[in-house]
Amino acid sequence: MRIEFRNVHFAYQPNLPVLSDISFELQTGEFLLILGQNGAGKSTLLKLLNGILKPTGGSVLVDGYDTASTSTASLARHVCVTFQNPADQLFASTVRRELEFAPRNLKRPDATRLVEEALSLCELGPSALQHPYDLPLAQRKVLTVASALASGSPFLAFDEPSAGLSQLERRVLDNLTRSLRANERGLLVVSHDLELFLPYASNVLLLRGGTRTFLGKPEQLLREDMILEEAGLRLPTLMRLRKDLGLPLLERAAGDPSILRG
Amino acid sequence: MAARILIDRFSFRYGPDLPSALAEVSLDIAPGSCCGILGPTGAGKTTLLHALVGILGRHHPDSIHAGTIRVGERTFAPLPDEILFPKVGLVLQDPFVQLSGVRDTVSDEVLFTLENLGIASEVAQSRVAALLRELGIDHLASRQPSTLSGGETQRLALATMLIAAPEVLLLDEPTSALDTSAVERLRQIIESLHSRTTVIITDTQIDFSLPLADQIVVLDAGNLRFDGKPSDFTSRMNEFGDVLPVRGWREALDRLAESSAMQSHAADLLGKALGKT
Amino acid sequence: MRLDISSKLALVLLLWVCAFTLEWFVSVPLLVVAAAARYLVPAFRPQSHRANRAFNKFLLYSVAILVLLTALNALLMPGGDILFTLAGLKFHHDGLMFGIRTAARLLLLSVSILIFFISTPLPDFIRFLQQKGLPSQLVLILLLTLHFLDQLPERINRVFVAQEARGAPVRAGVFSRAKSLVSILSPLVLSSIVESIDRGTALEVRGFLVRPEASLVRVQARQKLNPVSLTLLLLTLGVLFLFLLRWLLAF
Repeated sequence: MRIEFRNVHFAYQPNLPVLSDISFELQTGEFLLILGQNGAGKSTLLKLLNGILKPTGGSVLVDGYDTASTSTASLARHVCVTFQNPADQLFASTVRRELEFAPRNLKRPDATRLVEEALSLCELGPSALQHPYDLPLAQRKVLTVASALASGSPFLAFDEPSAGLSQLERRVLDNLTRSLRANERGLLVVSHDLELFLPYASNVLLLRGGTRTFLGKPEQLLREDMILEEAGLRLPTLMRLRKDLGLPLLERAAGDPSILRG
Repeated sequence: MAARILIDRFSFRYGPDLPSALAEVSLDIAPGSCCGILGPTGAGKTTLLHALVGILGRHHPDSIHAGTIRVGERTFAPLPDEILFPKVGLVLQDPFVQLSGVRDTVSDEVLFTLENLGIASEVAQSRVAALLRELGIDHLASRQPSTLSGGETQRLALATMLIAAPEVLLLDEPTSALDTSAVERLRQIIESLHSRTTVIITDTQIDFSLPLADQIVVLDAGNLRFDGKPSDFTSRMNEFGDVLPVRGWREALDRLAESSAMQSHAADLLGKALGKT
Repeated sequence: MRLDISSKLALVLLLWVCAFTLEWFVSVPLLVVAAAARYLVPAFRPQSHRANRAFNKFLLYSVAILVLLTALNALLMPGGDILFTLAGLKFHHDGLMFGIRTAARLLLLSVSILIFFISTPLPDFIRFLQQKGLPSQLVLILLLTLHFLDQLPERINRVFVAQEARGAPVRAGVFSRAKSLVSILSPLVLSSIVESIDRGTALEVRGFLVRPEASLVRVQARQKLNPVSLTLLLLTLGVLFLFLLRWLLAF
């Protein structure tokens, strides 16, 4: 199963392109990390993924379905996308009901199992019967990720999932990412949190002003730091320090998400 | 002009049946210095900031509290129950929430603060323009505030506070919505405030505060677990592995200590944290 | 002559007082007055496309609901002649008249408020209220409420999109939208309340409520009532006086 972006253009108004000529492919089992300054078009890209926005040029194919002619609700069966603000995405009266929303609507026969898995992977079990708004903000963010997880869709996409999270929730995200990679799900993450996600990414897509300035392996990106600078980004202090010291930057082992070891 | 903050055994509980939000916290923050308060969500960081600006006392008159808080020359027992603005400015975690919604341009949004303080706008216009230049958002002066990006909105929120020349500036998890270059710009802005303004930053990560702060504080579930120099913090970092992402740092800092001849940009950046001023 | 906010408010006040105190059939020509204001008077023109669309949508839904209510009244309130029968349902005279009377007044009330808000940007309105000396606390509440109402349609849309992204074909039709709307209204209001608290805090720490007497906006206000507002207010008083007089004479 795969997602394809073929020469995708998108503009809200004719003279103001937000994305130009974006092409890439993602198979299940792969993890694409999307980087770029705020305003580079990352969130727009995610909205093109599940048909919320239709490309003004080129095409987006999800498991062979053209997003231009398929409804978002149908595409949700193949790719489930979450966005930054939990307030726009939480609408049930308990955590459990929130998680049940997607698998029920998608008529998944294993809905119960999916919900239980999401609860345990995201460590939301103890809060299953609580009202989402009784949870602290950081946990509400994790809940939006869990809701996408419970959908059972082969591809998942998250927009800045780690923004505003503290150590506890980051650990949850780290476990989750590792688990998803192990289970052959396809993952797209838009994030500026390189420490958390770079170790797991199979590929990195770097956007600048709506165009693709880099698509390749994380190791390559780290070697060529001019690319990051040109895109207006920099490595976080710790990564810079480790790089200068000659310490390896990427670890793909289990454990503490803050350890970056090759 | 910068104020000293002295907190003496301050305890706070939102209600009689609720757990302690802050338990016997004592802090001494030198005027013009930068203090980084680190800890997980729910540690009490925001509660502490709200106590300092006066919101906590105003909105929770029936809370259970003890201790004293001193801001500059004034002492409150236990905490201020009036808004201490413009003496104390607070930039909230969510920059978008800080937009008033009642002004159409970025300049007017900043002027709004001065209007509330009764300062004439002819005098103010040039001050606003200068401040916007300093923060690098002067090119956005006539834009609608709601059209700005997260990083730009945050700098606007900062401008609305700094225009009043506060003696104390509080920033609640300022980097959570920012990309790495916006973080860097913010760091430079905060550095430029040194000795003019006492700055307190709260964060769940170490990355931003460690190179910047003169004093590091670790809060966990309302308790103060550490209060001291960044260099002391780095040598004791491992103790806080349960609440802060420390391990990657430890290895790097050990290696840095071994190769003392290294002149890396990052090492210079961490000068304060390594005990070199 | 360009109408300022106080004149516009004075007109709205006049229309409201008429809706409440005068005969229902006066509401009908007054509705024409309101419509004329909306389309002909520059001060009442919608401030944006969004406001324009909102006005049209509101009008459509209100008329539909009021027609429905009137019909129900005619069906369920017995009394008077049976005016006509449709598909076996009898429409009574008294009920129908009651429905029409109420509908006319309600429509005038809502349309007059609406023409004010679609033509007055929030920042101007708030500044006006502060100038008139409204307590800051009240202004704050109004500000937050209006902001909430202003953002509501877009927030609802975003939740619909989020639901679609999880497989629910919400935007397919009016009924599915209506059904979803009911279920999301409560979390939506909840999150708006939470956000409003934060926004209120943000305004407070900027000194919004700190020293209202010193607020420059108040100090600058030295406006005399303009002739249009004065005339409208006098008219309003006249209507009220007339109403009181008739009420007293009825004894």
